[in-house]
Amino acid sequence: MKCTSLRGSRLPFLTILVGAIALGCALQGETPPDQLQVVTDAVQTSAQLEAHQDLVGMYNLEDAVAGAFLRTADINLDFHDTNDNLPAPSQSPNYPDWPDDFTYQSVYQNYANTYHDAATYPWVVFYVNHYASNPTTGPCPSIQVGTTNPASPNVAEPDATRRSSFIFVTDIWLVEKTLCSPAATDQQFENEMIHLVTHEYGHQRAGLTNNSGTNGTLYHTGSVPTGRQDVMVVGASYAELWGYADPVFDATGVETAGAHSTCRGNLLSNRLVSH
Amino acid sequence: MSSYQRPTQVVSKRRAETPWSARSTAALLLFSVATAAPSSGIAQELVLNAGVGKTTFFEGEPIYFLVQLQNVGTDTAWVYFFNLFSPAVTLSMGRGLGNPTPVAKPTRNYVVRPPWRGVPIPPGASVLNTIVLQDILGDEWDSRSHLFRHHLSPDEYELRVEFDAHAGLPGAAPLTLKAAPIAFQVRIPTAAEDNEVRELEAMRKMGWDTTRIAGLPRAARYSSTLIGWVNRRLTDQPDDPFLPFLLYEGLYGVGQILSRHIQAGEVQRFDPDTSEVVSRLRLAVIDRHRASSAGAHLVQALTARHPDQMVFLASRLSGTPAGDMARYQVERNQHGQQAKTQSPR
Repeated sequence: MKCTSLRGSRLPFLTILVGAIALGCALQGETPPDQLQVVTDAVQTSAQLEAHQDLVGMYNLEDAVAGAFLRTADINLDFHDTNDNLPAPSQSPNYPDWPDDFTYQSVYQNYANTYHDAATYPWVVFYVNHYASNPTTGPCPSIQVGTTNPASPNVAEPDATRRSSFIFVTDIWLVEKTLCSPAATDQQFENEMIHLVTHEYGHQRAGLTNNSGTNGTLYHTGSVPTGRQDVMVVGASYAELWGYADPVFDATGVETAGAHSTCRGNLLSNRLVSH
Repeated sequence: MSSYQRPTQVVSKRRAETPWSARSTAALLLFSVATAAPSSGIAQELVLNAGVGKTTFFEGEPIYFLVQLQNVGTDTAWVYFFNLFSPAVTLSMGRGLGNPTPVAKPTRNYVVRPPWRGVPIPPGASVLNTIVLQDILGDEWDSRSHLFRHHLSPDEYELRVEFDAHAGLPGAAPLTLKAAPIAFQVRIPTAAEDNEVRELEAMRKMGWDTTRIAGLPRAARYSSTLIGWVNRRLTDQPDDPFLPFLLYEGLYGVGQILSRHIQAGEVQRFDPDTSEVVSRLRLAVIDRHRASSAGAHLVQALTARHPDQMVFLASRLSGTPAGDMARYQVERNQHGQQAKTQSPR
């Protein structure tokens, strides 16, 4: 795991950053919970400029996301920031904004096909700007924060060119820092982003389902530490999103590859998937 | 509403009020009703409808899947976000004699601040969504050379959809709505049907063709070729099931080969939503297919940039799936406008 930083200066909270860096680097020394050989994912991250600027100063984001997968299933995430100035989606009917991902899913797929170097990086997260359907005025709207194109439930998409996660960073920033009260502190906002990226990457990396309804009773039967929530839960509490920098997946602790009734089981089942 | 109403009574009432669902009892929509008491103590009565419009399709024919969540109670219902990509919606499908298995679909995720209590659905209101099933369901194959991302081979199918309506609603009792299973068959195409599929697939491949003609990649002519094809087909065979698909996904589903040319200024960006020709064709096809889920599907295509047309369509097509979709979009836009006019707290 590496301690990379996102460049820029939008979030001036040096003191907190020092602590965050220390925490992130501390995770480097973690020992995997079993004797599995650690596998490494080459993860491309690319961003539109405004989204990138909103992430500036989140020195712990990548390490914290990576830590969740390493602790749970010995999957190490090696992030590669390839582009911080991606263009707007030229095929979007809401250009330069992102269109409804339900109605125009092909816009997302085509964008990923164009800007994801799938041959080099089998996995990808796009940090992008405004999603047209998300409100940009108050009062404190609920918003869509991301979308991921997974394969079948609990199965990683076998074709790297069809993998993608999009996170609408500028909308999240606007809601959490401006439109809603109380506004998130920088640390709370970073913690929330850690959860959201972990959640989306969980969909992509192992086809993890959302923890709700039938899927919850079938595929999320493990436990989490007291007071915590599975990062794949639908409607996560703000106590979880803001209060913790170490997302947790539900687990029994005794899963092996082939088990599908917990997040950890599914991560273990898919950990060897690459290209 | 404080009293429980038996599902059969509710269904009967709604059938009388929605003639398009009543007319197509064989296939268009199948439904279920559920009630629950959320944290407020007020019972909710919600109906989940789902259908594909008919029971038999030829291999390669687009299957337009329509879902509708309806509040049949007298009080506003509060639910989690409802759409086919919602994390609270689960699709599963069985093929032949096999058991239903969950279906791959992109997954949206949301954040909501306390004291958020859900998305309000007023009494009598509905939420509608459509999709072409083969976009998310079936065996994956190369969408560059085929019309859809997935393939449904000839067989018997059963599709199920359920909605965890109270997912993420603090303190609300669990409420899972399940639409009745949808059974349909995909049959072997006739020679004429197969020829049409091949013709359209050939046109599809054009969208990725980098062969340069007069200095431009052949892909640059894809949109005009498609529009010409639709124009002719609408005259000759206006009921062609591909027409709504072509004027929707067909116009957006290809073209990344052109992205870099557009960025470089070599090719002008084609915007179907500002094309008068496309708009005219869409309205004509909607009118022709208004009684089917295909018509509703194409109405959904207009929502991104033509909310002004929704009011007209809702009135003109009232009582049809296309009209219901337009009415839902009108209500959705009104709700969105109201939200935007409110000041931040």
